[in-house]
This record gives sequence, C-alpha cells and structure tokens, in this order.
Amino acid sequence: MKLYAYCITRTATQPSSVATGLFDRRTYAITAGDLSALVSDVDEETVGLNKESVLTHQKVVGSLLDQTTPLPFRFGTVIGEAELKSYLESRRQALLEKLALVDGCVEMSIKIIWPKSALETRAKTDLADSLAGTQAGTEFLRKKAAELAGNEQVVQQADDIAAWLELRLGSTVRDIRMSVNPSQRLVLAGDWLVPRVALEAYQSAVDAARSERPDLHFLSSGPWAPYSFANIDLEFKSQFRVS
Amino acid sequence: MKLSPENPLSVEPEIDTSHAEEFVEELRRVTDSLPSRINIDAESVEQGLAKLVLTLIEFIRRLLEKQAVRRMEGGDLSPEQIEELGLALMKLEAKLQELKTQFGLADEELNLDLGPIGRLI
Repeated sequence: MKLYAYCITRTATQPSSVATGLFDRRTYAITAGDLSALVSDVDEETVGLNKESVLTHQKVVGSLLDQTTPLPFRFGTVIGEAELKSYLESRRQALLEKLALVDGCVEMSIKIIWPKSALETRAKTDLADSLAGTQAGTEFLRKKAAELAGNEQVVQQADDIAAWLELRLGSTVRDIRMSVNPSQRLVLAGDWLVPRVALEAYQSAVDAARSERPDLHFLSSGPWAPYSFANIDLEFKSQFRVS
Repeated sequence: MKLSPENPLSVEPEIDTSHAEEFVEELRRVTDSLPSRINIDAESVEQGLAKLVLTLIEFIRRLLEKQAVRRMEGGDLSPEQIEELGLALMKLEAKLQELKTQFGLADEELNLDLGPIGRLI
C-alpha cells in the first residue's frame, strides 16, 4: 500500500479536522518526531492529473490552512511509509526552518497580462521607413535589428512592471517569488507570502495598484497554502526518486 | 476573501479579475505547452528529441542574429557583407521553420524551462 502525501506540519500543531482525501479515503498523519505528514492510502503508484483530484488535493491542504500553515506537497506525490518517515527524519532541520519561514502566513498570487499592441505598431512603422530600396539579405537583417530594439524596450517595460509591483506590495509581505516573461502576454506571475495579520493591508495595496495601472489586466487569487515557498517536492524526488 | 475582525483566519481562496476570458485563454495556452507526463514510446521520444535539438538550434540562431545585428550597427561590415550575412540568416530561419513544421512544433514550444533561472529563450 502506498501513501499519497498532502502536506507537512509540526506534530504539535496537527489539525483537529481535515477533509476527506483522494478516492474518498480517510486522511491521517504519519509522524516522525516533531514533524508529521498528512497522507491517505492509494492503490496505484501514480495519481492521474484531473480536475477532481487536483481540487481534492487543494481541499485537504486548504482545510488545514485556517488552523495552521502547512508545507504542501506538489500534486501527485506518492510514497511508501518507511521512505516518508526517513525523509522527515533526515530533512528535519530544513523542514522546520521552512515551517518557520511560512509560519502565520498564506500565499497570495497575482498574474498580469499586458497590452503590447502599441509597441508592435511602433516597431513596424520605424521599420517601413528604413527598408526602402534595400536588398533581401540587408532587409532581413534590418528587420531583425528593429525587432531586437523592440524586444529590449519590451524587456525593460516588463522589468519596470515587476519593480513597480514589488514597490507597491513589498512592505506587506514576508517573501516574494516572481517570474517575468516579456515575450508572453502573461507578462508577470508573482506569489507573495503574506502574514495573515497583514492580509488587509496587502489587499488594499493590490486594489491601489490596480487603480494606478488600468492598462494592465490583473488576476489576483488566494489565500493558498504556501506552495511556491515550500518547494519540498523537488527535494523529495531527488532523494527518493519517487514518481 | 472572507476577512473580518471576528473571523481573521478564515481562508477560503478566491479569484478576482475583470478579464477572466483573457486569463483562461493565456493560462490554457501556457498549460498546453507543458508536458503533463513523459510517455516512453518511440514516437514521443523522437518528438521530444526533435524539440530539444530544435530548441538549442533556435537558441544559437538567435545568438547569431544578435551578433550580426551588433556588427552591422557597429559599422564593422561592408554593404556586401551585410547582404551576405542577412541572406545566410534568412535561409537558416527558413530551414528551421521547415523543420518545425515537419515535427509539428509551434514557435512557443521551442523553449526550455531552466527552473529558478527562467526560460532559455
């Protein structure tokens, strides 16, 4: 029998009530000293990625969130009991440090889509002026030069958005994970580790940022368990090579 | 978000946007370009290998383009050399496009996620 792992908590802060796990199985704790992992039994070596399973994983982890801040496993972590205990024991110190980092916090997420049509139009106009009377190879290279100049502007603008958002929200958060993709319409995806006591201040700062930049399209979500700040699945896989 | 002085720890997640359709479309596009599972069969291995090799070629091609543009803008090249270099890069781009079509790969699929460093291209 294998175990599906949802998250790790301190044994002392084990929750009083938890939602039912995948395949309607009961969830329970596997304890190793002062750390516990919340699990349920599974028959298979892997769990299929589908909407229902993902929502159940989130429901179980989320049901702990109003009682404590767990370190969530990424969806799909299946492991044997002995390996899980060994992991909790061998990584005890690092896991306790991560629990201390996320203690009292939740993860909030912001995604931003930007309109790039203005930049694209400007690059095309500049290019048309410079291409009159050139040969095919030269024309190609000049076109590339214009594209690169446009790209550099786009990269700078994307970096400016990230810096601006960090400035607006930074004072309300404990930690930040942000990825900026200037070549994509979804230009920014940021995860913010927010102390629960600062959630209202964070939300006010997000609302103010939205008002300040109506040209940017925002999607904000949360509160979530700190998936982006736990990062325990990678360590887990590298140590035990689980699926 | 259900936050109030009486219930400060209530943490039901919510999603807030005025542009739901736009985000659904973008997130679906990003998700579709990610491999959900690695299937070890002959066809997917060939496709995966082609994707990896073409990604690296695309990366090198872009570096060459940047270098050529720098040299052109720096005044290092004669008009003839610019024309010759431009034609060579144009043919390289066309050839790569042909290979992408052959393996059924879209432009946005030619990339590598390097984790915390970001994406290759």
